[in-house]
Amino acid sequence: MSLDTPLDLLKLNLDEKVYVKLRGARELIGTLQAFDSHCNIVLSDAVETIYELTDGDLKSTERSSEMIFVRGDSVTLITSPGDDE
Amino acid sequence: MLFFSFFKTLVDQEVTVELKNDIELKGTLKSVDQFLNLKLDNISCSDESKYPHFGSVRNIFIRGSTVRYVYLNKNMVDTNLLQDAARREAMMEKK
Amino acid sequence: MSFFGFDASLPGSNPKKQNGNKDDNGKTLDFEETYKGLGDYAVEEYDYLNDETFGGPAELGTDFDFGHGSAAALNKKTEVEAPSTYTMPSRSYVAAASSGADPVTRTSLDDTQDLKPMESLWTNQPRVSTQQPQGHYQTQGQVLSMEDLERQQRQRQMAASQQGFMGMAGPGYGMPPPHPQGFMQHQFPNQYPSSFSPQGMQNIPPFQQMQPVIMNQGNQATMYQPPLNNPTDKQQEQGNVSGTQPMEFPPGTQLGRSPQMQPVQPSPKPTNPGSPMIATSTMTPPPQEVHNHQQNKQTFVETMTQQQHQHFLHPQQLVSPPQTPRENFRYNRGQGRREPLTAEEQKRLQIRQAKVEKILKHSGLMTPRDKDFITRYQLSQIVTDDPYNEDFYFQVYKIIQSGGIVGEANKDLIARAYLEHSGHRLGGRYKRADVALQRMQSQVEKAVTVAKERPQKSKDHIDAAREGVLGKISSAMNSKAPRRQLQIPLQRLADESAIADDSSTAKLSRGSTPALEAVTETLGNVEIDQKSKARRRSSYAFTSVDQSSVLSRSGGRKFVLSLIETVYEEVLELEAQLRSGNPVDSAALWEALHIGDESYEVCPFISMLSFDKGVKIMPRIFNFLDNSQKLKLLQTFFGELSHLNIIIISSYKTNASPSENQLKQIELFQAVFLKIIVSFLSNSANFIEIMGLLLYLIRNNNVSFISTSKIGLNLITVLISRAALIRQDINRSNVLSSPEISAWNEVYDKLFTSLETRLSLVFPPKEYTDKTVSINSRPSASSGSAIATPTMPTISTSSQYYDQAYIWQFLASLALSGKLNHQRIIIDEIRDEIFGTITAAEELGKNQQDQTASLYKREKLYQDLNLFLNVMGLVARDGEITELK
Repeated sequence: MSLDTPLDLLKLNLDEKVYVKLRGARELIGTLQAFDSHCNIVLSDAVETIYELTDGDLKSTERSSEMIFVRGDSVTLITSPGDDE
Repeated sequence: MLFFSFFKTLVDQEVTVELKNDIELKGTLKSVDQFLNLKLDNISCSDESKYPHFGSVRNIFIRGSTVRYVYLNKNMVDTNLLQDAARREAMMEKK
Repeated sequence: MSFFGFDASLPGSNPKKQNGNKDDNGKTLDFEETYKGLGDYAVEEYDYLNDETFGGPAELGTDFDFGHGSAAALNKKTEVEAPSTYTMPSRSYVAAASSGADPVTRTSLDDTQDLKPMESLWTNQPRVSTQQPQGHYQTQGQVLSMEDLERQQRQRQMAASQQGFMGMAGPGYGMPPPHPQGFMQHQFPNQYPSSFSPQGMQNIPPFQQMQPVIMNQGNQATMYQPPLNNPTDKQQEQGNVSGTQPMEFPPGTQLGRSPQMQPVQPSPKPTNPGSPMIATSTMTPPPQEVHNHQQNKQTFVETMTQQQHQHFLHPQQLVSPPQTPRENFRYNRGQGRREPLTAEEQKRLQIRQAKVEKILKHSGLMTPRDKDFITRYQLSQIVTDDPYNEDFYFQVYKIIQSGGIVGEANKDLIARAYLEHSGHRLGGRYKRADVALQRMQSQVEKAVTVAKERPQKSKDHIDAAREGVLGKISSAMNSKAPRRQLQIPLQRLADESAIADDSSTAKLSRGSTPALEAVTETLGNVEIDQKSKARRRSSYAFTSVDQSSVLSRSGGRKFVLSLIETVYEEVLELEAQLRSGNPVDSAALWEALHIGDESYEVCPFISMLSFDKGVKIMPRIFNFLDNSQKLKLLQTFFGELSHLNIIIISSYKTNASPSENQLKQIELFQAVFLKIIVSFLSNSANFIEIMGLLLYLIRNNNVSFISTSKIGLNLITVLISRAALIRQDINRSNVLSSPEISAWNEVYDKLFTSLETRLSLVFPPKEYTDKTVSINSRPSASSGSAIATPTMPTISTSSQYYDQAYIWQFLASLALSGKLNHQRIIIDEIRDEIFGTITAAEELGKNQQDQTASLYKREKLYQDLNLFLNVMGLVARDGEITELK
């Protein structure tokens, strides 16, 4: 498969763990189940981490969900956590 | 079209929608369109702190662009099928 | 989404304007760039009102400049904006087109009115219409329904096209009159007095934009004929047309596909060589080009006018009364006319007028065909001819939900691919896993049963064997500690030998007898060349379960993932072909699998199986492979078993504490791939092929390492139990040839030698089993939701203890195929485990809490153990081992 578009890279990670960064200091790690050209995605077994800066302290809250749809306009980047090549 | 197709299968299922302003609404998905606008019925509070006491509002139309997340249950989704649907979508866009 | 444009330049009628137009035509848009392919859809006629419907790019004061801009200044006296119910708030071509230019209106309107073109829209004066006898709807005295209007239009249209079918002209609008210009001049003011204002249309978007529409409307004839028929311009026109033709409609392009074009090509003269380049360029065209454009525009307007004309020529055209001068007149003087009406009347009229307006507002703007086109266009956004393509998930999901295998065969084909292991319906994945394992188990059991039936003939030997190994079989055995009357020195080997001692297997594999060669040859085996074999061997026995260690040997993670996705693409493609009934060619798929690809240390195919999605696709791949391909695939698979990530994960040697995820992976592999192998071996493979696969496994792998993994042991069990079954069958009918038997004996010997002295290692240590049990009995931790993932039946039954059934199945199969001395060795090596199991079972029997579960487990332990013992005519019961009756 040729990797000529950015979305092709996303496709490689179908059914694999992905790391998704979102607007508003949020990130998600979960298994990529679906995506489209708007970066709408569905993740399974996802853990969301929300970072908050209160009084100079960085606090993070986690929330897990077994299946989550993420609207693409919140997504800022998607990568694969295991991809260290 | 993938997610329109996807959400159509979720009609009449209970979902939780988190909006970009942190409001969270749990309700039965009644309809969806290609902009992923959603109509929820029987909305209820899933987290008191994120619930904007809509009072008597029972059903609601949500403009798709205001959605951040839609939380689903695992058993509502056929993951293998969904992955293939995503592959098909990607293939069609290439053609 | 502009499908068309207008050119209002009226040839001949206004020669000045042509000059003025030159400036406005400087900017051209390239259709190919802007609307490529869109023309394919625009087969509809009457699309010229599209922008009216959708809103065009034109804006007041820029593209349409009625009397206040530079272009308009040239011909101000002819420019009149007629306030009309027919126009829409936003200016458009049509608004421009329909604005009146007739002398009467012109004189009656002044500049003030011109500045308030939409008066009707923002005044609430009712348009009293009773005084309008000409108005069609007034004549009829009733409000027309939308249907009526449409019908009328359809009739009109038909009439028009009948008029039009006089010769070669395209459908719909018909052939132009012989002298269009004369026609125009003559008819235009009379019959259609408030018709086009040519000046109003000067500034339409460049001509290319509207070309596809023109082409598709089939009006080429009308487009090019007027110039030819105009004697004064003829010479010039021909030159232009000849230059225009190849430029605007290069033959063979999608624009030029209209058949009507060919006969109309008018020019015998040589074409302008520069033109084709100009056509695709968006640069300022040379003067000639400009002129061509103009010419085309002129002719197009003629066409348009004729279209309109023929439209409205029909008696029924009067349905558009607002266009009449009288109407305009009325609006201009509406104030005076209204006075005699009473308030009630007024109100009534207002309501009526509103209704009429509502209906008439857009009537005539779109023909039914237009509407139909737009409806279809809009629908095509959501609905397609092939719902499986664009609405794939929904469609297939519904089929699966509704239970799948009903209805069209096509649907079944699609659904079936997903039913195999779709998580939640028709049993779902985990039940299927059970089925696969049960199938293997029943295979072993069947073989054991057959074996049980025939041992009597060699009863003496068996007795001897039993006596020798398990000690004297007696009823004196105590449930707590089965007596070991005969002490045989145990040959326990250090654990590490299983992995470290590779040399014996290596030595073994080198020795090849003619019988084995024959097996290899039957398989059409290409032996892995010695070099790559050595290279591969060096990479065996990983101590790390890290995926990347394997992946890096076959091109890297990304590479393997891309291979998997290619395989998916091929499979999806093939499934689509199958669905549409086309012949299926799996060559590309086979290519994509990289079976036998020697360019990497580890075959990429093996690495694909490192990923869950690589495993999941296997059944669907198998649907498209023929038997020899499947065999080849399995050969590669068994040959590189040691590289298989799942073996490494499922071996307690390399992965002493498996994670929950890894256990799930093992589960998946059993469910999906083991199942394929079992069914292939039992349905499609013959004895020699099974032998060949086994031989391949033994020769290329460290068998004792593989036997420390659950999956590895399963795989060996599958092979040897199937072989045993075949042998039993064949024994009955005596068709197994002697070379086959001797080959089998040799293969078995090899297998046995590689396992000998390490048989007890197939039992994982307590720490490992405890760990596994603790993970399995834990509720699914991965999901934070209240709804728990459905637990797998296999695990729920084994949640309190480690299910060793697979080990006993393996030992039973191994014993089945062995001779007496083999069986003795087996029993010898694992006697601790046998007695340990009996002890454990009896302990359970004493457990007073949770009796049902304990009893169940006790039964299970005996059942598993007896599967093995039965092979040798023994049975363990109530803490004792007795002879099988």
